[in-house]
Order: sequence, then C-alpha cells, then structure tokens
Amino acid sequence: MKKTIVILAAAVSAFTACTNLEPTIYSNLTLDQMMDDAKNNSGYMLAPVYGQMRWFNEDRSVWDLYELGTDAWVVPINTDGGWNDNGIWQRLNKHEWQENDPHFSNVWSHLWYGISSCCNRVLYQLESAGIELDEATVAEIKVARAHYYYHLLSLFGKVPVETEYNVPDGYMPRSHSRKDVYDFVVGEIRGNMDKLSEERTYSRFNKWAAKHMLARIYLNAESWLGEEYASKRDSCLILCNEIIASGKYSLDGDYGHIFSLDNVGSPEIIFAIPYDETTKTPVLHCIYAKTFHWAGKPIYAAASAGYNGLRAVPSYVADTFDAEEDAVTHNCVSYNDRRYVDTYLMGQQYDYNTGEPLELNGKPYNHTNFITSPVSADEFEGYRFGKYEIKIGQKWETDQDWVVYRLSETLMMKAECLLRAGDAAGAADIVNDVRSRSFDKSLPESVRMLTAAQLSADVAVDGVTVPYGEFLNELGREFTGEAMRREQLLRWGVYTRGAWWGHTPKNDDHLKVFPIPASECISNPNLEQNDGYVK
Amino acid sequence: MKHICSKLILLLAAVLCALSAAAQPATVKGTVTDRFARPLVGVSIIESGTTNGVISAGDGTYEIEVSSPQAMLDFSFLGMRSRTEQVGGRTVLDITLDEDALGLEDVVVIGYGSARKEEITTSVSRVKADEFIKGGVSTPMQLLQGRVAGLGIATTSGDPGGDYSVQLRGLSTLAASSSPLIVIDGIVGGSLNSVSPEDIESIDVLKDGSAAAIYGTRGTNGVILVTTKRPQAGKCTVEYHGYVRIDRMIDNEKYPSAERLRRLKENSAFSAINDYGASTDWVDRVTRLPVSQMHYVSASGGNDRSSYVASVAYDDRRGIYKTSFDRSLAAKIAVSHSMFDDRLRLMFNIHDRVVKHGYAPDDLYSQAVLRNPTTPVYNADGSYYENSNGANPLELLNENYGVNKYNQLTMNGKVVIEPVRGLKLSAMLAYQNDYNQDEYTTTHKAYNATMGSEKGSARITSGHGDDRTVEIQADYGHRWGLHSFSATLGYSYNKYTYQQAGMYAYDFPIDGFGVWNIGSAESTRDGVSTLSSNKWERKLAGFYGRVNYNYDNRYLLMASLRYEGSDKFGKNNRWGWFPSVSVGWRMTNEPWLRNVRWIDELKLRAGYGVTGTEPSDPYQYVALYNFNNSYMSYTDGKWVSGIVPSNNPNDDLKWEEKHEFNIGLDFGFLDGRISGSIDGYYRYTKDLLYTYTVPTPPNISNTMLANVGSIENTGVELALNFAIVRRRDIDFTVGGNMSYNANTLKKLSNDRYHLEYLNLGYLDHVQTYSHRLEEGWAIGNFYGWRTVGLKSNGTAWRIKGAENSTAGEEQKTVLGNGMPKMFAAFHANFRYKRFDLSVSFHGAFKYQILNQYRMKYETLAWLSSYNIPSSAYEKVGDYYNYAPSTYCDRYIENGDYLKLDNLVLGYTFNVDKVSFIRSIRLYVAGKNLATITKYKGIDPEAVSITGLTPGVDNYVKYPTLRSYTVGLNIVF
Repeated sequence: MKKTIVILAAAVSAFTACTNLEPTIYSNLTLDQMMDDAKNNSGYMLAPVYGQMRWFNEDRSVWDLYELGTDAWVVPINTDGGWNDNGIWQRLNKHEWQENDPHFSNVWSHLWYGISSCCNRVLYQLESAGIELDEATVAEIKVARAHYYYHLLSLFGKVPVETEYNVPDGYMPRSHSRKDVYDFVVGEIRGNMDKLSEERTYSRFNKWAAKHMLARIYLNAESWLGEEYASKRDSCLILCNEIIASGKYSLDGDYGHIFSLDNVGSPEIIFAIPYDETTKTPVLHCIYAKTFHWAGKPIYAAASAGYNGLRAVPSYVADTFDAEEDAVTHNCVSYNDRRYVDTYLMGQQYDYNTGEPLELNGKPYNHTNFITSPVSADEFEGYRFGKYEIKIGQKWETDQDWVVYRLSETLMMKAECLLRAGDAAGAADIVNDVRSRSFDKSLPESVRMLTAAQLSADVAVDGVTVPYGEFLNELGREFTGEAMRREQLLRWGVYTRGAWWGHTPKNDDHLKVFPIPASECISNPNLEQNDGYVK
Repeated sequence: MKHICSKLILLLAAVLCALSAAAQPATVKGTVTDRFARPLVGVSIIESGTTNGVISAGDGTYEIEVSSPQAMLDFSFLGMRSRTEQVGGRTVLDITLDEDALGLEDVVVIGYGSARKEEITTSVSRVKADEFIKGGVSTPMQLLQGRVAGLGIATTSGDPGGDYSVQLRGLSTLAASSSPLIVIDGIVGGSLNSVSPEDIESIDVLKDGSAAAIYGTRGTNGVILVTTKRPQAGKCTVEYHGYVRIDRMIDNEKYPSAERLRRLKENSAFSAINDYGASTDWVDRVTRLPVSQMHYVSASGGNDRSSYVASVAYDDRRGIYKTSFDRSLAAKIAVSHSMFDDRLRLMFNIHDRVVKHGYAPDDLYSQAVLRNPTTPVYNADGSYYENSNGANPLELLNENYGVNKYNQLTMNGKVVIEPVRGLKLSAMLAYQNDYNQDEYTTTHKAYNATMGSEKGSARITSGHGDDRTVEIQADYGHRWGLHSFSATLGYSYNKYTYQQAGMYAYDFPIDGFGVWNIGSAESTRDGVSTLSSNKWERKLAGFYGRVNYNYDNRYLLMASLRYEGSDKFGKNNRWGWFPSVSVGWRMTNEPWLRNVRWIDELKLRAGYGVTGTEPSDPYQYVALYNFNNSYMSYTDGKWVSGIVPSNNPNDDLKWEEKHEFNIGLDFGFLDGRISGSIDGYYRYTKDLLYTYTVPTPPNISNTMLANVGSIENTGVELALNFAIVRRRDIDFTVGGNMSYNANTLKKLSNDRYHLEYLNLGYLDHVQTYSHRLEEGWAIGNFYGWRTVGLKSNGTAWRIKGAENSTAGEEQKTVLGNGMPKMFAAFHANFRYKRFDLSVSFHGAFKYQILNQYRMKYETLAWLSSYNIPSSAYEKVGDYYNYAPSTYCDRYIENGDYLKLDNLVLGYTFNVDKVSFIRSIRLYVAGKNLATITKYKGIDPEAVSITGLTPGVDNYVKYPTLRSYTVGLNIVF
C-alpha cells in the first residue's frame, strides 16, 4: 500500500513537472513584485503623475490643439510636399477636422492615460498595498488629475468622469455633460487645493498652481457653459488676488528669462513641466523640432535639425505687434515691443561659429513674415517659434522647461475680470505693470502704455469687431505660443468667426469643441459624440 | 572496459543466433530480376517479422535459410516495388520486381514518425534529393521553390544571406506568424538556413490540418520537415561539391543619366533640374561584380552496426556591394550505432554553422537610384559631397557598415529500444543554440556626422537563443492477416529562452575602432551611451498520439491527437486539444481495378484536423510593469524614473484555432508515365489574434491583443508529372504544379471588440495607408483613390468622385489585391547519354503590386531634389505631372509573372576506368534568367506576398540578382 502511494506520488509529481507552464519573467516587474515592495516603489509609481504631462507638448498632442487652428500659428504644406500628412494640418488650419484625425485620438489617450494609469491606478494600487499616503500627496495627485480633466473639459467638453481604477469586467464609462465635467473638476480642485504646500514647488502642484488652474477654469467657464457662468469671473478674481497676495511670486524683470534654459530661477513661474535632453521621448516639440528649418543647425551649432513645419501666421504677426515691416522684403524694420523679437525667430540667420550669414542653394536663410500660401510654403518663409532659448548644441530632445502657469497670466486674468466688470482703469494699471518690462523707458508713454479707453474700446480682431479687442491683442503679445490662444479666441467669440491669413471663418458653433475620437466612439458605444460631429 | 563490452555483445549475439538456429530450418534459393529479366544486385530478402536476411549476389541469386517452410519472405530494393511471398514449401523462388515509378514505397516523414507514401492519407508533398535542382542552388529554400503545390515562395531580396517570403495555402492569421514550422531531423523549431542544401536528403511538407495537427499550436502554417543525409552502412563514400558563382543585377529602374538630364533641362518645363556639373553613375559606383564560391566535402560509411556521416561546407557568398557578404562554415557529424540485434540503437548528431554576414545600409540602392547624377562624389577637398536630399551613396557604402555574426548549433542524441518485437521506445534530447552579434559602425565621414550630430557611432547588439527539447515516444506496430496497425504515443517539452544585450555609443575621438572601443566614445565619458538588456522565455508541453490502421492496403485510417499547453496563455486557456482524422481508399488494390493494367495508383484521401497558432510575444496575459523614462518626473530637484504598466493584459488570451478539411486524389497511369495528385481544401481559422482598440477609460491604454476574428481559405492544388521518355540513353520528364487559393475575412468584431475595418500598411511618404480589410473581403485589398487625370495646371490629380473638390476617405475604393491567388511552376529534365539539362519556371498570378518607386517619384514635384524616373518627363494627358506624390490606382500594376528561374546543363564523365572515382559531374547553371511580366518595376518576385499588406514593392530594397554558376561534383 505504502509503495503504491509512493509510486503514485512520484508519478503525480513527475506529471506536474512535465506540465509546469508557469511563466518565468526576467525583464519586467509583475504586479506582485511591484506591490510586495510598494513602499520602496511608491516614488517610482508616483513619477508618471507628472511624467505623463510631458507628452502634452509632443507633436500632434495637446499644444497643437490649443495653438493650431487659431490666428497665431499654422503648419502649411511645404513646396517640397513636406507636412502634407494626408491633410491633417490643413484641416486644423481650416477648421475642417474629421473625427478620425490623429490629433484627437492622441490627445485623448495622452490625457486619459494620465487620469487612468498615472492617477487612478496609482491611488488604487498604493491603497491596496496598504501604503498610507499623506493627505497632501493624495490631494496633489487629485489636483494633477484635475489638470488632465481640465484639458478634456476645454478641448472635448462631454467626456466620462472616472475616479476608480478597479472597475468590473466589461465596464464601459458613460459620457457626462460638459457642465458635470466642469463641476467635477472645480469640486476636485476646490476640495484639495488648500491641502497642498504653500511653498514654491516649480514642477509640482502647490496651492498657488492649483488656484491658478481654477482661476483659468472660472475665467473660461462662460465661453464653455453660457452666460450664466459669467459670474464665475468673481471667483476668478478672488483666486488671482490670493495668489498675488501670497507674495510667493513676482514678475521677472526680463521677459526672455522666463523662457531661458535656466528658467528654474524665474520668480514668475508658478508651474512648469521640466524636460531632459537625455530621454528620447517625449520632447518639447514646438520650440525647436517642429519649427526650425532643417538647414538651421548652424544657428545654434545644433546637434539635430528641425522639420521646418510650424510657422507664425503672417496676419497675426502684423496685426498684433507694434513693429514695422518692409512691404517688399517682409523683414522687420523697427519695433518697440521687445516681446516681438523675444517671441519669434525672424530675419537673416547666421552661423554660430563663423558669424557668416547662412544660405541654402544660393537662397539666403532669411525668415520673412510672408508665406506664399498655406499649401505652398517656401523654405524660409514665415516667422518661427522663437520664444524659448535654444541651446548651443540643441537636440530634438529638449532640455528646456515648459512654462504652464506664470504670474503674468494671474495678473492678466485679474485685469480681464476687472475690465469685463467695468473697471477699465484698474485693468489698465495691471496691463501696464506687465508691459513695462518689454519697452525701453525712453519711449513715449503712448507707446509703452495702454489706456483704459484703449482697452475698453470695440476693436476689430481678425475682422470681427469685439469689445476689449485691444486687451485680446495684448494677451497675444504677452502669451503667444503658450497654449492659450484657442481659449482666448473663444472668450472673445473670434475662434469660429474670425478671418485670418489662410483661414476663412466657418461661423459654426459646433467647432468650439473638438470631436470625440472616432476610434473611441467605436470601441465604447456608451460615449456620446459632440453636437455637429458624426459618431 | 571497452573490451568487456564488446565481448558481452558478441556473447549476446551468439546466443541470439543460436536461438534462431534452433528453430526448424528450411532453405530457399532463387533469382531476383527486373521486368526486362535483368538480374538485380543487392536486393534485400528478409524473413517477415525477423531480422534474418540476405542480399542478392552479383548475378541476382540468393539463398536463405528460413525458420519454417511456411515463412514469408520480403523482397525489397531501392526504387522497386517491394513484394512479399510465402515460401509455401518451395525450395526455389524466383522473383520479378517492378519499378516503383511513382515512389509509392518512399518513406515519407510525417512528424514524429514516417510512413510509406502509399499509406499516406493526408496532404503531404515530398521533394527528394534526386528531384532537387542540380546546380545553382545556394539555400534550402531554393530546393523547395516551385516544387510544392500550394507553397508559394518568393525571393524578396538579392542579399547574399537570402530573404524569402513563404506562404502555404493562403493566409490564416492576422497578427501571428505565417511562416511554416521547420522540423529538421525531428527537431522542432529550427531554422531552414542552418542546413547546407548539400546535406539535405529530402524535404517533406505537411500541408493540411490532418497532417499537421500532431504539431498542435505550431501546425497552422504547415510543417516543413527536412531530413538530412543519415549515416548509412556500406562502402565509405566521399563526395566533393564545389562551385563558383557570379551575380549581376537583373535590371535597373529607368532613370536619366547626367547627360540626358542636361538635355532635358533645356526644355523650359524641366528648368528646375539642378545641374551640379558632374556626371556620376551612382548605381555603378556603389556596385561590383561579386564572385562567390562554395566547397562541400562529406564522408560516410560504416558497417551494419555503426555508421557515420560527416560533412563540412564553406560558403563564401558575396553581394553586389563590397560590404555585403555572407560567409559561413558549417560542419556536421552524425553517428549511429546499433547493438543487441538492433534492439538498441543510439544516434548522435552535432551540427554547427558559423556565419558572418556583412550588410550595407538598407537605403543604399534607393539613394543611388534617386541621387542626382550631376552631383559629384567628392568635394574639392576630398570630403563627400552631401546635400539635403539624403546621403551620398558612396559615403553610405564606405562610412556605414554592419556585420552580423551568428552561430547556429544543434546537438541531439536519441536512443531507441525495442524490448519486444514491434514495440519501440525512444527518447530524444535536443539542444539548439543560436548566438548572434550585430555590429554597426558609422564613421566621422558619414552623413550623420557631417550633416548630423554623431561624430562616429557604434552599436553592438548580441542575442542568445537557447532551445531545449525532450521527447519520449513509444511506437508499436502489428500485422495480422490483412490488418496492419501501428500506434505512436509521446510526450514533448520545449523551453526557449532568449536574452539580448546591447550598447550604443557615439562621438568617437577617432575613426578606426569600429565597435571595439566603445569606452573611448565621448558619449560614454558623458554617461549618455545607451545600454539595454532583456530576457524572455517560452515553454511548451505536449502529449501526442497517433494510430494508423490499414486493411489489405485498401482502406487506410489515420487519427492523431495532441494535447498541448503553452505558457503564453493564462490558466483558463493554457491547454488545448488538437485532433485529426484522415482516411484513404486505395482503389487500385480493389479486385475490380487490380487488373486494369494502365492504372498504377488511384487513392482517394479525406482528412480533417485542428491546429493552432500562438501569439508571437510571450507574457501577453500577465500584467507587467516596468521602468520607463518617458514617464519620469522632476521631483525635488532630481529626475525620478516612472514605473508604468508595460502591457494591457488579456486574461482570456488563447491560440488561434484552424479547422481544415482536405480531400485529395493520388494517381498514376501508364506504368508511371503520368502521375500526380489533386487536393482541395477548406480551412477556417477562428479566434484570430489581433490588437484591438479598447476604450480609454476604463482601459489604461487603448490597445489589447484579443482573439476575435475568423478567416476562411479555400483552394485547390494540382501536381502532375510526365515521364515522356524513359530509355537507357534518353530520359525526359516534365512536371508541374499549380494552386489556387481564395481567402475571405469572415469576422472582425464580436460583442466586446469592435473594428469596422482595418486600415493597414502606412505609406510614410504619402502619409496614408495602403490596404484595407473588412469583413467579407479578401486579405490584401489595396484601398485608395482612382484618378481621372491631372487638374488643369498639372499640380494635382483629379480624383474620381471628387473631380472638382478635395478628395477624402469617401472617394477611396478597392484598387486591387496584393496577394497572388494562383501559383504555378513547371520544370523539365532532359538527359541524353551523359548530358543532362533541366529548366524550371515558376510564377504567381492574379494579383497586383503597388509600385512605390513610381508612386513617390514619378512626378516633376521632385524634379529639383531627386533623379526622378524617365517616365516622369512624359505628359499625362495634356499636362506635365507636378502633382505631389499620391497613392492612387495609377501605381497599382498587374503583378502576374512567369519566371525562368533555373537552367542547368550538366555533363557526367565516364570514369569506368578510374577505380577510385565513382562519378564526376560538371555543370553550368543560371538562376533568375528571364521574367515574363507586365510589371514595370525590376522584379515582381521581389515583392513580399505575405502578411496583411502584401504586394507593396518598396523602393528601399536590395535588388534581386541574376546568377551564373559553374560547379563540379565528384564522388569517390
């Protein structure tokens, strides 16, 4: 009997050995491995909460949707056929985008990855691993999550609101109304902002960064949800005053320093997204790779060349900035506002090492404020994005840190609230405070300063006469290329009505939000498409 | 010790002999002749069911002592049909053996065993050594090309390493591999390239599901079983085979020379042509006339107990670029030993191949074609002349090069014990090891140094695959009366581990180190050199069994079953069953047909079998996490790496499951003068693996590998052989095959995963996709715009359906299909006295090719940048074409071709007077000699015909070549 058992046991163990198919994993962490040492791993698990935000400035991501299709920036088709890309840039320029254009699915997945994987998952996993996160850390993750939701709210409007990672099998989220999404985001920020650190943190959300984000949401609420939300500007004003009163931030005396390679020291920056040259992706695309001409490496003795895509809309440059342009050469003759030259790469370019003027096939390397047509842009036509300092030896991989929220915007938000509330003089004081660093003191006041009357006048912007039009122009001068133009134009009602170089207005309100990506509508039937788009 | 062993063996043998001698003896003698009454020498005469046997003498006579007067005698001789006769008390038994013109007695390898061809009930094709092309073959794949109905093989590049696209019976998968499983001498999962073609004895291809089901999750794409030369008892044989080969480019794209460009520039329409003053024939500057050589020596011999075969092959293949070559040394030793009256057999085999493969950058040829021929090679200071239109081809050739070194080792041992007659127990251990190292260097003069940022770069990547297999098997066979039965039962376990490590550095202080001083690079000094490593593993366990039953050689049955598990799947779906059954009816052995003299063979076969396909990557159901620098964040003044999920796991993942019905007929008429087979099949693959878009949220990333779709393939295959003349001095045979396959995607979505269609094959330079696949469609449909001519200024195409507006997705339509529906091949062998001549043709039909070279460059839009094709200077309708490169029907061309693939002329010398030489044959061979096609590109065969985006002719390629070989074969 005993023998039989032994033989049987041997047979069974031999059989299980022969049939052992448990996988052996060498180069990845299993969930168990990660969770068993969650205490040690928590720092690494939390890193993507912010790490994912670096994707916003990649090609075809969030930045593009805030700046392309506005009066400020354009990606034309080059004469050599480059940047045709099956028409995706043309459609953005012309407001003829389609539900399955790659920008929308990219932005959608970049934002939702931030929410689902970087925030909801990490909160759930750390909690189930028994890691007690302190109140401030949880609040910080929730505010960071609200930051992802804010972009969904602004760009798409009607989206799901998900806070749980551990959902039942087959669960399909439902769309919420834009108002519900707004209420959720506002509630999340309000409920958590006071738990955050009051110290300056630069690359992490502190109390002031959270308040700044909330102020921006309040400021835009009317344009998203209708006139009854105009009163939210009162809340915006309160938040701006709190940030200003905190005394943590002050205007940088040098406009260029805010966008310099060592902007970590700028007293103005409330929240920034740092990049590092040694990582491959993601990169800060718009400041170099997307905009510099491929023959432009010598300008900064750069290691990599650009793709010659992004160019400034000529009409915007001419209408916005206080500068004089040669009617024939389209080169700048003179300017008063230093932000003009701090914003763009323009004119003849020179070899960094030799100082010789650059040329290509006998053609001078000269960026002019002229583009032949949106479908046929010659080599060097158009001003380029030049706001950020380019490193000597610049690579595609960027070392520059992207400025998200800065005090100047806090001040201008306050000014806009005052202006729209009828306090034009109060607004003018703030505007002139911000302007003063960008003008030579020797210039007459009429050049350096804007008056209350100028700010409150009805002015034509992009062919549409709007109240406070000069203030909108001032926002352009101060914030060009900072991923704000779409919201600015929407607040002034110019986004769908304005005409600018290469763009005729569609006068169609459904274009005020982008479509929910077609692929998402197909894979989740519970999603609702935005009005005016095809599901 | 050795001494004692041999004594023991002798003693045992003596005992066994004594035992058989103790039975009641009877003596039989006689003569064995062929049907012309010529004596047959060396016929094996064995008493049935024993090992008692003799061999016929020089005059065909034999004498054998049998255990009883009622004993049965089996007469067999290679190439003759065996006969079994009852002695029946006779003392003289003269026998005539018929020629086996149909090869019915050939032993066909069927996976974990073998069977005589006449007993096969499934769809198996066999190519034997004597049917191989005898000259101009440099890879095993070329032995199969055009020889197996239903197996489409295309040579897709002229790289001396060989590059093929292989597909059996259409495409049965969406995302998994479509390559047939390779089994070399019973070892599953090898690489066909690891074997020298000279070492191959035969290749069997298991085509249908009932044949391949015994290979379970790896059987769907068919199985190619390679049998290499095995140790054979007998006189020691030494063989030498050597050849010298030169290769030429078949043809070139048609583009203007520098002189022609200058003349064209005089036309105002083409004034944008840039004339840089020089005249450079770029293709000529980067290519050479390569001379390759191969030398092969083998020796085999032994006695009836121990035998061996050993071979060495040195193969120095050179490519048309000086950095392109493939040099290998392969050695093989196989030893077999049997003892205890054949009741114990031991087999050992070691095979190793060491290869050094050199390669130039992929885009070398396309750069040479597209480079403006008026640009000079060098600047005045001797540096390369570079511009923005891609790299200088000569710089590409000289300043960028890679070497891939690899080593393919196979070691295996097998022991077979026969404890009782009819029962064989065997165990095999096999170890396969592939080690490869890739080394890639660019210098200070390379484009990425002079125009880019890296002052010299070096990359080393090494990989190591380790494949271990254990197989334990029992075979039993029994015959009683008219019944014959055999069964196989086995277990196999296979573990494959792959590990890889790589390093990459740039900015070297000097050139000249190649990859061998990465420590000196500035990137290493600055801590930005890249290091990486990873390792993964795959385990597969299976139990398999097969039974064969044969009643009177008339009714045949085969059934097999595999129960297999893989660690690529989660617990729920880890194990699966793969059954098969097939039947055969040999009508020729029915009494009513037995006497019809003109019918030699008529066998009806029918089979059904289930096979599977695994996903390519392991661990797809396990939730995995990893560090990823794309998600790092800057926290408190330092960078912190991020841990993120590295996959979106699917708990329900399982293999794709293919069900296949096959019905076939094997026939032979007129004394074997006409023979062949016809097969029809229906294969249905379900639970197709594909990466689906899943909603985010709730998923963290928007793709997931899931089993959803299904595909159907239906087809017929026909193989025919004619022995037109079969005489002593003249021999003329003609053979051919054709196959037709139709394929339909039946399903792409279920209630959980939805896809309306798949847009496939992104075309980078026109930024759209090339193919679309929808439910109900065939795989491989080109999907794009139709043009109705140029717009009035010639700067854009007028798209059908949007003649006066901007065309979009709505105007796209099916433009053709890139997967050949039909393959055909034809070969003829002619021998007159000592001369032999063979030709072979093969072709693919009923499909289209996207000519990407024309699509991108046949427009004056690129006039100032590239040397565009000559055809671009012709008007289209009323206008010159200045339209941007557009993907449309203009560039979808008919791909049908018929190729004179091989022509060999040989002469066998008369060596009767030289006692130590058995034969000498000298041959000349030409390969890829002529192509009949309407396709405008260089070679329609060079276009990949597999996968979901077949039929796309890339302009970045290694052009296919035409080769001429002179070879010598001597047997001692």
